[in-house]
Amino acid sequence: MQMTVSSGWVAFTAVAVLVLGCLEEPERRVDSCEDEACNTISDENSPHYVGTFGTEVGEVIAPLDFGAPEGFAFGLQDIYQQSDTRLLLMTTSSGWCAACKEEQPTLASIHSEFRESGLEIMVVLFQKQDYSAADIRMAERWKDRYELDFPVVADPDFITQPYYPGGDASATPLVMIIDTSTMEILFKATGFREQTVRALVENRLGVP
Amino acid sequence: MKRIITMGFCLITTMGCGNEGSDEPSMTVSIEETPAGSAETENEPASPEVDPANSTAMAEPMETTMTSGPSAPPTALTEAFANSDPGPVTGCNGYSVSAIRGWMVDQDGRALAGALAQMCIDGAGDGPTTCLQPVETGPDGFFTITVPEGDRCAEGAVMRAVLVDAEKPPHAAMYCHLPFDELSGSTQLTITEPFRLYATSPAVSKPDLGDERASRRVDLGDGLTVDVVPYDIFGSEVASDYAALSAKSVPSDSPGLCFLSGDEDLDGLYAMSPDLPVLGEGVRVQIANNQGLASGSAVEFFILGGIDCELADGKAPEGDWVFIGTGSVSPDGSSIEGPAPLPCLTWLGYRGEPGSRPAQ
Repeated sequence: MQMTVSSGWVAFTAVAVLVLGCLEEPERRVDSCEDEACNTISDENSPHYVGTFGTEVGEVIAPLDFGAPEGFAFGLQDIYQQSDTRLLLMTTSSGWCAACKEEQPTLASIHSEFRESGLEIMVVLFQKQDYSAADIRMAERWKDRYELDFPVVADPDFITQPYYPGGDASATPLVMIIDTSTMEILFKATGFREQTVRALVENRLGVP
Repeated sequence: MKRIITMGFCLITTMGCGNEGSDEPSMTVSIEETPAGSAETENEPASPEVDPANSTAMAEPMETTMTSGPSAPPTALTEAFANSDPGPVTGCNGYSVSAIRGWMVDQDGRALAGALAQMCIDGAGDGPTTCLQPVETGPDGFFTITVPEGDRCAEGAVMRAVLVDAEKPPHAAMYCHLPFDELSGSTQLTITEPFRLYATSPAVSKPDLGDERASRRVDLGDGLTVDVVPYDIFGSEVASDYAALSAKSVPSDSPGLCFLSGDEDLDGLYAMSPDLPVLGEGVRVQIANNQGLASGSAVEFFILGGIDCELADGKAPEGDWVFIGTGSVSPDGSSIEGPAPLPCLTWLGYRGEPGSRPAQ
């Protein structure tokens, strides 16, 4: 599994890119690391989150980095750094996944309902309808198409694949709920069960 | 020595003398041996990183395609599944399904290799809908899909059959509801009737892309013209999706049209490509009135539901043949104007109102 680490300079780059109106896919920083210790970031002054990363419920999700509209990389460190976010609902989608497309309006509705309570949602696109790798342009059009107010990002290398139950990415979408204070994976499943997701979100956010 | 000379002769003439592994009059004459039966590909992501080594297909054969008729069904359709039947899902109040296999052909019934079989399963009860990664067909058009354990209790499913190979002519996608009622106590479904993909023809005339947000008229041939805004085609890349626009008139009694029941009494049917939704103003259709429908008469239009095929008042579900509105024959009788815009580029059908057809 490829691990990527974003740093604070990405935000400054993002501003510059926005000013220049550049929509080119940014250079992503990739720190390949074979040593187990590399997975742990222990600098208390760093805005990065710490932990030994894993893919299962109860483990801390790695600080995955994706391509985003407006031309800058966006990832889980950015979510972690959002002070008004307590819970992340992350779901994978693809252009050929009819079920994924059907869930977008429901995601928008849930986001609208729970954003102020601290819920953030992120849609991660890994393939287009013709089964080619997703890109930033697709993320832009997807966000536009479904009128979404939350991040829609591109995962062309399908780095979210290991997070599927058993690592088996046969069925899509993958739905994960993450506690953004610790980045611990609280829930994951394939298929979007609205009632289950709502119940979990309400419970974690303390919303009646 | 004699055998070497014989084989060398075979290689030169490509008459398939070395085709010992094939027991069917294949349309593709292979010089290298292929395994008996078929190439069975398991449920692995098919594109873009399909590893040929993961299928039982051999290394690329030297082949010559001969147009001698439809292919025989792959023998793998009658063999035992690779995995034993796991039995019904405990407590399932729908269909228990663990594997589906079938095969694909082109419009002439010839096995279609390199096509993709991809399905979405509606979970039974309050189970979610999930979509499975596509599986690529082998040289004889055969494919097998293994359903993940968590998705085996189903209410229904739709198969999307599509060919996305840029090296091959464009084909319209096919969406078919799967016959789970044929499971008959097993959880492994074999579909013997092939999924049939119809080739489409590139546009006869099409303006340059220019301003991708400007509407323009495209002549797709066979009497079909469309007004389209390229940017509204919700696909991979505006330029390539626009360039790929194609269509073909298909007789409505043609084989393999799984979305028709046979009593639609259509006056015309078109296969379209690429299989994509169209947003915004959609696609406006005009069809030459070659059937001689009466001037000013009403014409009903239908579409095959595909991925994200959204109507003004809802969706056209995948695999459903959906009425989308009523158009009319022009006052001079030369053309048929479509109704509400087409929401997706799948299959389009139309029929004149009773009494509008010319007397036989």
